[in-house]
Amino acid sequence: MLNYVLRRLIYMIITLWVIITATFFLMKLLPGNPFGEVAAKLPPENLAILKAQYGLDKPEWQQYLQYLGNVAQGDLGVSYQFPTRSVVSVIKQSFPASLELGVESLVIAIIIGLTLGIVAALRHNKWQDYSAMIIALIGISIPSFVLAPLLSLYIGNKWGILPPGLWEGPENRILPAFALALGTIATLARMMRASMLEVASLDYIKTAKSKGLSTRKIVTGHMLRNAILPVVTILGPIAVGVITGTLVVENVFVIPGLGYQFVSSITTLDYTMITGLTIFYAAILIVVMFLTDIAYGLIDPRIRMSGRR
Amino acid sequence: MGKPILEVKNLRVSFKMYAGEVQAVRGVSFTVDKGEVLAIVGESGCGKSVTAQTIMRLIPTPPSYIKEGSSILFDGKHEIAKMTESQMERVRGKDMGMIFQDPMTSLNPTMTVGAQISEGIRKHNQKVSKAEAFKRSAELLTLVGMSNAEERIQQYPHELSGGMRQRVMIALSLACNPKLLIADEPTTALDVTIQAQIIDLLRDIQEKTETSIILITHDLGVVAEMAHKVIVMYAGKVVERGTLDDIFYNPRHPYTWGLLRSVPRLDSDKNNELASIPGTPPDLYAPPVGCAFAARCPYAMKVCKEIDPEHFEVSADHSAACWLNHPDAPEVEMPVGIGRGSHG
Repeated sequence: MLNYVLRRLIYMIITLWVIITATFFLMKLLPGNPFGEVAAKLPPENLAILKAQYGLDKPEWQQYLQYLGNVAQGDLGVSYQFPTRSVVSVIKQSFPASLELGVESLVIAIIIGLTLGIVAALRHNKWQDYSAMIIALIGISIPSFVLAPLLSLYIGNKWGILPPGLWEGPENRILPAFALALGTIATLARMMRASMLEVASLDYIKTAKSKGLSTRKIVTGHMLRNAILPVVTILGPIAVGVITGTLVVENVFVIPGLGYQFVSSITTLDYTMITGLTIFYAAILIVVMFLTDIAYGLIDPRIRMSGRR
Repeated sequence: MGKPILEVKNLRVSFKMYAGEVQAVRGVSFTVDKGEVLAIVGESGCGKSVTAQTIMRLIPTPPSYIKEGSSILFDGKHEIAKMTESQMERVRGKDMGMIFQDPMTSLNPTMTVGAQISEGIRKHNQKVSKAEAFKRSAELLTLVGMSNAEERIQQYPHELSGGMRQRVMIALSLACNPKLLIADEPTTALDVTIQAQIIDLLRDIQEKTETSIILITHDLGVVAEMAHKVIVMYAGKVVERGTLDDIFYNPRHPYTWGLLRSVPRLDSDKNNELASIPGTPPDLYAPPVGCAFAARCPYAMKVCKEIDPEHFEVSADHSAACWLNHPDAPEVEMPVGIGRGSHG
């Protein structure tokens, strides 16, 4: 197991390096420069000083090596747009809200989504099944940029049940977390239902029944664990998507998160910010994928075995 | 052989589908005595497995329905056809065990072998502790011929070969000393050398424990190895019943002849093609009016297509549902290669 973890760790570092390299050079290929319109008005000498300050006067391979060295020490550089702030400090400041929102909506989505899926499968072709699938269909069809403003407008403003925005107490969390969760609820519910139905038709469920086990025991002891395997596989990417894909919801509910920073850095061609946030998101993705694989091994002994060797 | 352990009378099972009703089993009757091995043979799709699984009520309702007038009397007192699900749970695994066709898929891949066997033990004996149940599981694995049983119970199904898994399956079905064991094509998914081992094992266990067995198969070799009585099923009905000798040496139904002729023989001329029964079994959405086999039967007469034959008794244990056994029917020569060393 330790061997497996170590090997995965090395792969993770290599993956991250490839991403850093690709992002770094792709940035350089973008037209324009990070100093924007100001650059055109500046006398060439001043621009040269500015470039020298950010190390942009050196050849690209030198810039690359230096950047790589900085990243290895945990320094993602200083923002071009806000010269007083480092990328790391921006992440430190904005990420907690995004992370919290993401984790909360993920927990909501897993609990509601899996429950809906399980109920739908156990009551296959009955009204419970149809209702759950209608909810899932709605969830898949309504994008968060439609749902979030509607929730904020009606539940927040018109009926005043919950606060329509901002990021203060726990009551501020409910609407954005739900708005972000609905799509995931739908995906998980449909997936869990399909998976449960497939497992229910398998031979070993008949074996379990032939032992005289009750339906409840068959479901909890034999079906759930096997049915959840394919769901766990997609849970990794889904988790990353939810944690990093909070942009729209953050905007609607005025939440000081990282999603907003990312988009604004792209429009202003803030090299260090874009590269830094990309690396940060990639690192999250890689770590979550790794955790998913570990979880997968814990659930399925067949995978655990191949990891041990 | 003693008292009957299972009496099935006029069992009819249908599946209600969108396209209509599939009459999978259309009035099957047979008895299994204590300590007896009954083989049910027939082609795929003739209702063997449905019959077997209905005896344990393993097919969910819907889509399957046991029709009015069917009776499955178990051990002289349990009317299986009318029992509730919770009553069935007490019978399944305890009084009846089942072995399935494909050992690769009939064990749960995420549970150790020991956990899967002891689960059944603990279900029916609440007082047994987990450790005791595992110990008993290890004993069962030894009984079915697995070495290192103590280690095996900690293993997962994917760590075992197909033959080993089928042994586990047999151990699992024997966990509570059932009075009746239903083996649904227990050797079909195994390779030939393993098949022989599993059949030997089943026969051995049957002799030791005197469990009654219903053996479902399309392999007549397996039937000859261990069955006492045989019923031949076709299109959801029993077309011939008899002792092992009756069926092998004095078969009275052209379908049985066909089955026997399609078995490869060591002494057959290698230039002769292996015989097969032309055609396919009828559509059970709309079963034919007369004898279901008439369309494929080389001896079919006019009456066969109009009236479904009742069983004609050949002897006390032997009967066949074929008009050829009617006193007025023309004499028909049995095809060559069957019934050699015939008693009658």
